[in-house]
Amino acid sequence: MTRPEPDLRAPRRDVHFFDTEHGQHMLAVDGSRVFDVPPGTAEAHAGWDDAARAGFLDGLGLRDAPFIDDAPPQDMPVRSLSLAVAQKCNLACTYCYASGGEFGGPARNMSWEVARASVDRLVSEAEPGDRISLAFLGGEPLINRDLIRRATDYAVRQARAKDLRVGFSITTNGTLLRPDDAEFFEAHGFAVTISLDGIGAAHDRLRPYRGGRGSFDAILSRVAPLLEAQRRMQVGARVTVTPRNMDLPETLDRFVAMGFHSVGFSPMLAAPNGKHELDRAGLDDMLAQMRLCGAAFEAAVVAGRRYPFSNMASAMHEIHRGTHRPYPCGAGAGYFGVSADGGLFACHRFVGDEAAAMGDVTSPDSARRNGWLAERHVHTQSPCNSCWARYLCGGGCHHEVIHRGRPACDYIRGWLHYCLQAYVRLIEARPDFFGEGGPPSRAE
Amino acid sequence: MPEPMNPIRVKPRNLTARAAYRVPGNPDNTRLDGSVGNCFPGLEMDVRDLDRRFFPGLVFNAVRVPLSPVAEAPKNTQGFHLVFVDYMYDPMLPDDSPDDWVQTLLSAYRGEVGAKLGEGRWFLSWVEQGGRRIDFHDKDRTPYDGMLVWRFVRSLESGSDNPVSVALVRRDHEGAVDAEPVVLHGYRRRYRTEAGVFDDAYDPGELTQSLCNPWSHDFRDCGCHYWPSNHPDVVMAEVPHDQALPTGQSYKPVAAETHLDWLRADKSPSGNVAALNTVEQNRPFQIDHYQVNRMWSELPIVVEGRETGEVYQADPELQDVEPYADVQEMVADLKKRLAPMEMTLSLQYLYAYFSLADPETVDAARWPTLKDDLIFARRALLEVAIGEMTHMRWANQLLWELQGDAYEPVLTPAEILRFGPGYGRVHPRSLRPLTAEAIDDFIEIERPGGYIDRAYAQCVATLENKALFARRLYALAVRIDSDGDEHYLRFRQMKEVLAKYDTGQGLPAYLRPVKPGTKAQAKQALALFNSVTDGLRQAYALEACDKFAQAQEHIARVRDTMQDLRVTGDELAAKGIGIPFWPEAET
Repeated sequence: MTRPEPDLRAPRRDVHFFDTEHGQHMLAVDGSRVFDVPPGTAEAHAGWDDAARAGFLDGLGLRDAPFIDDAPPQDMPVRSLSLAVAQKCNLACTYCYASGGEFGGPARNMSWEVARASVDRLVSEAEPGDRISLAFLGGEPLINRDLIRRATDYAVRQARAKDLRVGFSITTNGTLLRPDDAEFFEAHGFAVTISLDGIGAAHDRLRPYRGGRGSFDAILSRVAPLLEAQRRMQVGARVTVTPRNMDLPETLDRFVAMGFHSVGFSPMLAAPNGKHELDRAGLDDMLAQMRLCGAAFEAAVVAGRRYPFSNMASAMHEIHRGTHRPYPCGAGAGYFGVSADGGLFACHRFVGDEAAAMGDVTSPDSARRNGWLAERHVHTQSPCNSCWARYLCGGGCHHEVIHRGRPACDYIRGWLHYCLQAYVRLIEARPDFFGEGGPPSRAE
Repeated sequence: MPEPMNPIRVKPRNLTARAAYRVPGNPDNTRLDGSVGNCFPGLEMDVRDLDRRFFPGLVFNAVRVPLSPVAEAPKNTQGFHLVFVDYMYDPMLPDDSPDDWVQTLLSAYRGEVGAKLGEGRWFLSWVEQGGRRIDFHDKDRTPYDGMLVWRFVRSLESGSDNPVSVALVRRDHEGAVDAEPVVLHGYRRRYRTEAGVFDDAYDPGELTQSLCNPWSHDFRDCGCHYWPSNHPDVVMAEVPHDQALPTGQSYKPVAAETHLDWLRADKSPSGNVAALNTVEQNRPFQIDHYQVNRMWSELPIVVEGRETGEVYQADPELQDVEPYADVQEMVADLKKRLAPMEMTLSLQYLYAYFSLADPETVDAARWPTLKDDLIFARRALLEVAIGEMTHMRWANQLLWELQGDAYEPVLTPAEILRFGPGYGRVHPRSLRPLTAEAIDDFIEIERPGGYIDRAYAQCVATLENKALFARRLYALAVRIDSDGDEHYLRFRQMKEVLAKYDTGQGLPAYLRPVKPGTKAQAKQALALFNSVTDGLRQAYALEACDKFAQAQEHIARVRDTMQDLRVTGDELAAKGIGIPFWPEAET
């Protein structure tokens, strides 16, 4: 695969302007800094040449040493592993990135030796006081329930011996959940993500059993005890959005009402069989739907009500902190996916994919890891390196970019533009949502 | 087109924007990350202040043992002194907290405990965490100094799984505990919130409240020698250039080489009288606190130990120095003359260093000031010796930069030295104790405008040609050249300080009887010395071909060996044996 040469002629966007009822605002791309600017600044800026724009940033003291340089991080310790404990699945989701759970290979379970070696890898690279994370994915991970429990217990013991904090998570289709799973996940404070693609028939169309029967009702009855039991455990719903399940506000409301700790949406961009991928029109639809969900979130926050729309909640906190990242995620840096036979890959989605193979869990290939980080840095990605959203987005999911390219940039920019506006509105209305000041007094 | 350069008013919204925001017109170091924070008491912030609110609801100051105690003042004022109880707006103690420990603390502060802590002087007596208690008293119950307590308080861990207990005691005027201790339970405050900004508990200005004030009172009195308050104690008076003799010496050598107090209040010629020996003696003649606020900008700039007027003229006396005819000539001179000469000097100085008596064993009854003066002289002499070693390295560096592949390390001491007025006289090298005559010679050797100074001035004049030489070579030569002035001053100070112990009868009290030993006597020291020169030879050769990492390994070993050599040399000198760096028969 050859990487396109960065287009150096494209003007690099260092600021992005947006308006709200509170006036005009500017995102300084470097450091993801948000400012209020005088009205008309955006219009004036549009008429300036490069020198004038640079002078403008200079005048604001915004051209100090950049927050992100070109140097990729190297030799990072492994902090987080996801284990493909079962590379097989009892569902036949139409768009699955793992091609039915088997990642294009034979169906198999992970052995205890591989799981133990994975925990040992995490523990050996951590220093006392560090936090490590172990995630269980598949296929459908609960097909290999015994291994999950054994690996969890082992990780707890090993972490305690070295004074590490350990977090657990699992992503499951929910069809195999048992009441005693609720106890186990609660005892270990799991973050449980259930893949649900809509309400009733909408879900069943996309996520049928292998025989074709719908799975929604069965899942709901199995998830109920978990929702009931969650104290330390957090149960979230993850919705993969395709052209066939576009009722996002309704879906969101229903899942929130059911008691999910968080509900998140992600667009279907790259399926091995090309099925149900969103095209440009589909992404436009999705953006409109996401903004409706966002409006519901804003209304809830202003009213002081919890509304766990996770895309929005995390965007608000990231913008508030000024999160700026040269990568979309930790894949290949501190995070890796482990295949059933112990291969190490850039993330759970790349399991079995040579393009992102990083050695195996007993002997990671640090040259490939460092090479990956050098190659995937957003400054090397085109057209990302000239895009204003580059440090909020990080260049887009590696798996999708490598296999489908970047069809969703307009969607991502549209969503971030909306989120920036919502951020200004919310920090005006409810600074306490961001941990600042008190709630508004009743007199207001 | 609109005028984009005009600053516009923007308001930073999110955390990165606020943290990185530079108020227009403010310098870089107004932000904490561009500042220097320490605790003496610090420049842009005093890190001790972070811990004054380590325990929710209480505010402490770290108080030191007074330097000049006043008889009638209260005793035992040192330690972590409770300034006041401040729970009303403490973010760790919200009124509506569901946590028992918060409510317990709040009712204590609002009730009897709060009232009790409001009476008298209270101090932190101990802290306890994770089953371990640190008591802040010596064995005889003397309270620890506040700085020491602060070190322990700093080490307390935060977090909901790390509860902290503290005890406070009240001390009366005599410093004795006069009330039942107060014991409180809570958690250590984190300095920063989750968002990465300082905890709201700190009041505006609180983290900077104890800073020094570099351009006013602290500039007069500060003892920490930190750059904004660092100033010379004694200087030499400005000498007009047109009053210098061709040799570089002044028409009025006494006036030109008399140490003046830099802070003297009387800046007129009549005020230019020699500084006295101690700060206390000079104090009455110095500008006072109320004056320094007004007069600090009148204090003269000091270059090379000398006050300068409007214009500083570098090396005015060396105008007749000509560059070398070509590079080969300079290389040959560096190889045959300058680098070996530096080596000889460093060894002569090192030998003289070992001849100085051990400050710990001097006759303090007879010579009360000798110990301090010896400590000074030993340090100064060692500094100069190390300076010469550095010069030797720089001379070698000039060589490898100029010679390229043809370079070979020069680590052989020269057999003769040349110094004295004008073009100097030839003297054989010689391993000598630091006698008055030796000091006089050393002063001559290092005299600005002397033989060595002129030699390097010639290198500087050659390397000044920008078209032919890289600028760093020129800079290197300038550094060697200007370093010599410092050595000159050091030897003059040694002469002044040590003269009074030389009664003219027998060995001066500051020396110990040392004579060059035999090779057998100094076998171990010579082996160490050989290992130093071998190591340097390899290091220089590696550096010459840019293998810096490998060179560093050798350098690190050489440094360790030099430490051993210093210890061994001292042991030998205690037995009257000097290290025979070269055979002394020739003298």
